[in-house]
Amino acid sequence: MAEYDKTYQQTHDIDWFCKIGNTAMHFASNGGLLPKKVNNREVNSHIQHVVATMDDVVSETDQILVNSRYVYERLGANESRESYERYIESFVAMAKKGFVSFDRMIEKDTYMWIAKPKKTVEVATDELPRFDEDICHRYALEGDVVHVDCLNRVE
Amino acid sequence: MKRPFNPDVEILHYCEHICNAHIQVQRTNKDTGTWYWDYPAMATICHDRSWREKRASYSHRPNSNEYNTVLKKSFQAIGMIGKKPNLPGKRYPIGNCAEQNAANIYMNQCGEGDLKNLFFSKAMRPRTKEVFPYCDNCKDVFPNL
Repeated sequence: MAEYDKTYQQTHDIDWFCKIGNTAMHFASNGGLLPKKVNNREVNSHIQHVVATMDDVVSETDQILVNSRYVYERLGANESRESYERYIESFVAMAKKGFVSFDRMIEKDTYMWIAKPKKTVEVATDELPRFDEDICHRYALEGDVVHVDCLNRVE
Repeated sequence: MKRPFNPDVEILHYCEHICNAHIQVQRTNKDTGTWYWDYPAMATICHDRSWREKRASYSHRPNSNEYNTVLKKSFQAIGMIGKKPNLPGKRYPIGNCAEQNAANIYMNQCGEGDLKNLFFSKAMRPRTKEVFPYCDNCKDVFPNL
């Protein structure tokens, strides 16, 4: 199975997906390297297509939580409401499909959640790669962030 | 004087185009090698001093066979194409950046041979429309950055 090569990963903002326990998660790679377990171009492209064709399971935007504090901090105090809306758009779209949606913080090479459904909802696919929940909580999940280098320790 | 186009508006439109194409191409499941199957990490527009000519591009792997000779020489002055230069500052492998790809297209298609005549819009992440600072490779290569 072909992996994404390093240059492709560094020059693209790849959507990748997984399940940790019962939580479906979406990540925007923002030029970062993918965890080994999901670095499979054929499988990830198939999942991307499946997700792209999914219907929304949360229809109302007020049923989506947005990590506004982080987004405003990331964008800076001078940014407008339009910049905020543009930033969150793709993450809210994923949250409407039932995913907790994360963006990569370049400086720390970790992922921060940006948008998620207020109530956990079932995502209509069983094709997402799974990470062991207990081990993830021990190594990779820390409050609002996910450490990708630690996900590589989790099989 | 009214500008024929505003680079910072154009880059926003270009990023919106990329986002729309990305959504459509993933939904219709065309060949995964199709443009914008994955979002590019960064996009920009290279233009002339009078805002009349412009070419847009995005971050992707370098293909040294297609480089404009002036640009290639300038890249080689800081390091090897495809490799991260061993210089201080914020740097990526040479040839990966949106600015470098946009400049190459501009120079080849518009017959430009002088790097001093190249200007750029903001560098924007298509997914979020965030503006990012130019890297030190690009600042070294392009006199107007």
